[in-house]
Amino acid sequence: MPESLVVGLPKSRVVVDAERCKGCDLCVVVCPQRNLHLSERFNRMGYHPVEFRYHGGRGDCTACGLCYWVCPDFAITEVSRLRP
Amino acid sequence: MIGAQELYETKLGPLPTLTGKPTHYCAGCEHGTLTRLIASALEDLGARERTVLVSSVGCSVLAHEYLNVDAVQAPHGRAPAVMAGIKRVRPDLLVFSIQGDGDAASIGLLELLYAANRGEPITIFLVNNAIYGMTGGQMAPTTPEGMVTTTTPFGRDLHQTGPPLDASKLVASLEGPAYVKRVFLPVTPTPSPEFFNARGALEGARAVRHAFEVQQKGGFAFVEFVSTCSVNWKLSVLESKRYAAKVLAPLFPAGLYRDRFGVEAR
Repeated sequence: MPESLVVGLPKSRVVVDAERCKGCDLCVVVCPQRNLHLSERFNRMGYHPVEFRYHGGRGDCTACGLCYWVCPDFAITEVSRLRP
Repeated sequence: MIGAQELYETKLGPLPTLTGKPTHYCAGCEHGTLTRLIASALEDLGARERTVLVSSVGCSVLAHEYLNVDAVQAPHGRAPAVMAGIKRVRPDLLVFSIQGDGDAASIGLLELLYAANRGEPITIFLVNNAIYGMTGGQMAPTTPEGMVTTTTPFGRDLHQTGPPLDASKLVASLEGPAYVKRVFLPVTPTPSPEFFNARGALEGARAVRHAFEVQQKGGFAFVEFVSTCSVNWKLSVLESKRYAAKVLAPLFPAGLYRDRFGVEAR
């Protein structure tokens, strides 16, 4: 069994700055694994910010970076992989 | 206890070229995407310290707030003339501007064409969203036929206003430019209604880098980014992307119009 499954950490992850997010939905529709979704809560600006879900609708995050490149508000601050 | 942060290595991280201020752009606007593409290209080239941004007038007017480079504010449409002056005095600097279609393709069309005709070694990024965004949604020269704007409440009539202006073809018809390209920047719909294709942003990243490389080789580089303006088109963000793919993509076909130095081939 891979190490990441043993300790329960995803192989890749996305860090979202929820206060910058304007809830435009672009990263949500672009994510191939359905790992991002709009939150129920509001951020300080009154938008529903994006939240990262480790195990998405289709599979785990693969750190493809599409959300990072598409985000117009630099709210996807980091795309990182688990160290081998 | 070991923190989760130390277990991860960053693949794509925060860019020092971005100042980190929240942008004034509306949700889902391609101006923000382009800002990050430019920041990424400048860091790859290691050129942040010797780059000058010439801000135009329009939604891109505050681009210097978000990019950590030196900046000059040009009068409306006159960014190519200001850039040509900076570049002639300091040829070692990298000079670029972000202009809108109302700025570069309408009010400053003459400056754009003459800078292109002289082949000035500058880089111009034109964000074409087919409408005057900042001033409240008036008709621009690039507005497609039938689009309802505040100055064409019954849709744009081509008999009265002429056909939409194609800035990339106009610039590419001149002898001077070394690199002319048009990129469709928004996400594009796929057969599945839930998924969109992000190829435009990745192509845009390559185009931005090539445009800076062409300037370093001494050529005029012009990249037009077909974009959306969901607020002034009065559509939701995703509907505006669908509209752009349906109406703007055939009207302004993406493609390479001029590549004199062969930067795309590599």
